Amino acid sequence: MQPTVEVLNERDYILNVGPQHPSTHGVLHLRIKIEGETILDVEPVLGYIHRSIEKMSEALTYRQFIQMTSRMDYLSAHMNNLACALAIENALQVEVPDKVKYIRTILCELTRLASHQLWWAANGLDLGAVTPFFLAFRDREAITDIFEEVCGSRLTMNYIVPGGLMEDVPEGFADKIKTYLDTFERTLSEYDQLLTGNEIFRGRNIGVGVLTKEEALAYGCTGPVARASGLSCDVRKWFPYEMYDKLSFEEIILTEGDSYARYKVRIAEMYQSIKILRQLLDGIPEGDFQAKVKKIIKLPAGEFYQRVETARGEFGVYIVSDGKSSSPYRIKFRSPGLSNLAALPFMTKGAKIGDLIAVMASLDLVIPDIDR
Amino acid sequence: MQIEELKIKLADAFPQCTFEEKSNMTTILINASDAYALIKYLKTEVNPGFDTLSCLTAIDWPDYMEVVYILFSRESKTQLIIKSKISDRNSPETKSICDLWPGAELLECEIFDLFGINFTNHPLLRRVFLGEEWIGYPLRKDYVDEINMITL
Repeated sequence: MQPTVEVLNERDYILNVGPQHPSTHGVLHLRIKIEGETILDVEPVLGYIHRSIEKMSEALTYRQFIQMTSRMDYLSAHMNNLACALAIENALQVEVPDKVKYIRTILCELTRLASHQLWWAANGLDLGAVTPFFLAFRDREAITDIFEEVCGSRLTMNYIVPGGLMEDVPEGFADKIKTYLDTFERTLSEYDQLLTGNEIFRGRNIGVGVLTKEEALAYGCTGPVARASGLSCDVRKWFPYEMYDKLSFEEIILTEGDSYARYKVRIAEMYQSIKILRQLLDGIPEGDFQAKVKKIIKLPAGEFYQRVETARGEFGVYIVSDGKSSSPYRIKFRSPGLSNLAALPFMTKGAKIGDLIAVMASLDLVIPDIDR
Repeated sequence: MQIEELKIKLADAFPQCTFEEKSNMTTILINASDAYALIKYLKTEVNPGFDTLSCLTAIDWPDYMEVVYILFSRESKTQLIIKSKISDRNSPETKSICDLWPGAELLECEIFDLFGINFTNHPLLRRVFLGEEWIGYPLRKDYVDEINMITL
């Protein structure tokens, strides 16, 4: 591969971070130009896990390609599935039963909890704190158990399908989540005791990797990353889908724009997710788990764009249909991770190498989502 | 500003663009040579401007290519799709919008990598996913890879 971070003189020192470095959470490769400990430039080298899901989807039917989306941002699998299902339902003008809307929203918020827990676990680990990892994985385990009971899968769900759900939820679904939330609300306060007030953790995060509101908008950042910079961008508020317009919850917005603000946004979002779930669990209506949708789906000619809020930000599905085929003519997944990563070189210019790790941890990148 | 109002304004400033209402958003069709000017106009001259670049991608049609920009105005809550048509499929070229949104840099690299569309005025156009030694542009419809392709 041609080097793109140019070597200007012999004193320039290029350091490769990744692709197998543990703090890159997968196969992200960064070439950084440094002088001593100070970072002069960062270049992300991508593609180590590029599978060209968009090309594969062109050869699969509308029911099949959704399975691919679970394998992009695997921590937001339900939300990715939902984005595709919504795009197809809107194109076909199918209205799903209320029960489906409830269950989909519940699953999305549970996914957000599980994803933020994993981020919190890894964020602590990246900065040298091992205990959070075990604590958060204990909590996350219970959510994946619920998912396993619902759809037989713990990571790649494929449970939300065009028209509804793959099958009905098992008995005791709501009660199980209620019990879980009661336990988790107690342990969530431990998260604060363990990491939020920790002097070393605060020192490594406060004032590090600052991103202003204007820059967040210019780089296309979304999700907690943008909201920590004061940019309101929650798709659940801007383009409500499923049950979100009927629920009361806050969009968490902070203005500091540093790693610590991003940390606080996600912690606060967990409390909001619990609040959302509590509003939904008692009211799941009776009814069908699917609307009538043909086995072989064909979309009318045209283009359809659907956004949802995943744990990382705005995930968009852009489908182009030629009106004849049972598979999309072209499909594009707008992944939140790629845009958030785009801001990384800017955020870390002039920082120390240790700060780069802290900033990367606070961006909560999932590499298969960036590479696709 | 509502879509209807915008259409009247655009018909004045860009008489060469046409409108289409095939999806849940308004689509503006324009030639690649005028696309940059139109997007800059929508971002800076229209009030309230389209300040968010939601999505940037391309489509390969049998005899031409299209670069697709999905814009969003946070103040008026209006969404737009802009499809810029590149007639020359053999050496497609259009002007980069990196100076309007620096976040477009990686997205344009992706399009260059997978479609082979050259973006002029781009700070560092490179094959960001596949690497410089990869032959062909996989998201083009005529790209064939005998071994790795998934077909039904």
